[in-house]
Amino acid sequence: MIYLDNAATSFPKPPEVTAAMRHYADKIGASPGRAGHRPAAAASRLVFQARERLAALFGIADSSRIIFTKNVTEALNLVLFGLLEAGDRVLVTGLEHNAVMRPLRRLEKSRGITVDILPMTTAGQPDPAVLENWLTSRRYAFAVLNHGSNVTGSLLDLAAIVPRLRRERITVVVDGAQTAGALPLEVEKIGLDVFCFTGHKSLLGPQGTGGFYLRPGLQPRPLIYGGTGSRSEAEEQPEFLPDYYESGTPNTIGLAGLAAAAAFIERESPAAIHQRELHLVRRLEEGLAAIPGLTVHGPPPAAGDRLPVLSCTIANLSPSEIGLQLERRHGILVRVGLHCAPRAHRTIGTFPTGTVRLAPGYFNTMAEMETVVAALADIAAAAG
Amino acid sequence: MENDLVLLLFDSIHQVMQAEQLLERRGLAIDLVPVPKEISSDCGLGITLPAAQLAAARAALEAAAATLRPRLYRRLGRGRYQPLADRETG
Ligand SMILES: Cc1ncc(COP(=O)(O)O)c(C=O)c1O
Repeated sequence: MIYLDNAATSFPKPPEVTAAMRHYADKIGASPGRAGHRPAAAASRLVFQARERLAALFGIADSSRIIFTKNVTEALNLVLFGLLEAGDRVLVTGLEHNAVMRPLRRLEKSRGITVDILPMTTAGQPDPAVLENWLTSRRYAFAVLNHGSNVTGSLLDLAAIVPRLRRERITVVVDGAQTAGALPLEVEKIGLDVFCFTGHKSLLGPQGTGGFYLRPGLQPRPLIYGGTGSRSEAEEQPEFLPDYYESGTPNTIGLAGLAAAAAFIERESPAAIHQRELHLVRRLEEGLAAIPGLTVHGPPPAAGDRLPVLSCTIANLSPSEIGLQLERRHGILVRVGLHCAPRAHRTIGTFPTGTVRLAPGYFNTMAEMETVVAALADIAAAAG
Repeated sequence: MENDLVLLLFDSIHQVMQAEQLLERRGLAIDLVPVPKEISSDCGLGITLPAAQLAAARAALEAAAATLRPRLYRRLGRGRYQPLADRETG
């Protein structure tokens, strides 16, 4: 079996992730931040370590500014529903996931916000003329930007766009679902106001983990209220971080795994991980470009930095038929369709049928990439 | 006086963990202890250390983050604590 669905969730995980989760389950078990006994202290240390390691990985000085949620979708919801007000105008890229588009469409109806969707170049960057025109003629309160496309693998050039947005005093929220753990990141240096991440993709942690970074001075309303283990005598929510946003018993077993995953990434180094994955996807780019009847959708081959995510279609075959043949005849697991990102597929012209998405991960091999190229060549030849 | 213990209480468990890491790295003789019910029903854990190391501890905490300002108590005996007056906190 060749698992090429790492953009949905990474598999396998490093062995130390499962080991850390098992250790918590078998040897600790207690709730963090809720009691004075030793297992509770050990559980609290695990959660603290998860925050510290992610802060180091993302270039964030104060780890209390990392707030945990169950995934990036919850983080984005918290931030968008917690910050946006009636009349706000919001700028988004044309490659957003429904984790961004659905909360925004809801807020259009319920709070009367306005959403402007940027047209994109084939390299996955905002059309520079349109961006400049809109920034000078309209007043934006927020920009919500997908850092890395889960459909095409294109990377948004944050270093170029964020300073421009900040000059207009626009609050910049970044969806880092695909990039957290996949490459070196300097969240505070780039100047992001909010950076949302999910634990189970390139961070190599378990499902049910995710969160966001909040820059000092920003204070969205919480999504939920309740017990935090702190200020227990008060019936009002304590406003310090991270407790303000983390009511209820956390996913300690998941965070134990996430801490181990972050340690693994730190040890391997995000730069080395990125290089390895880039190497794999370059081989796919090259191999697929030579297959008649097959079209790659997204940045042109060898055209600068990208993620190990690649979309393609084959003439006369539906994506679901290709996916079925890949699995049944070749043991290759991919994801077909719209990838929860209809907006991105509209932007690249593959709506509504979608594409076949190949998403190798850190544990895939070059030999597997050869097998995948050969399998797709086979399927395309039979269809043509 | 050598056996005098001081108890440090923080706002959140995150701060307790942060302080534990900082003070341990300084080689101070700290211990993580349950917060005495007489004082607070908060997040459950506090830090004790010898009174003689309090000044070093406070300097380390303040250097790390302005928000790391624990409430301080002197241990008088089993389950008995007294807030430290400002002039005693060095
Ligand atoms: C760009 C992007 N944003 C958001 C998400 C949602 O991630 P999650 O399901 O972990 O909340 C995904 C993954 O599905 C994604 O690729």
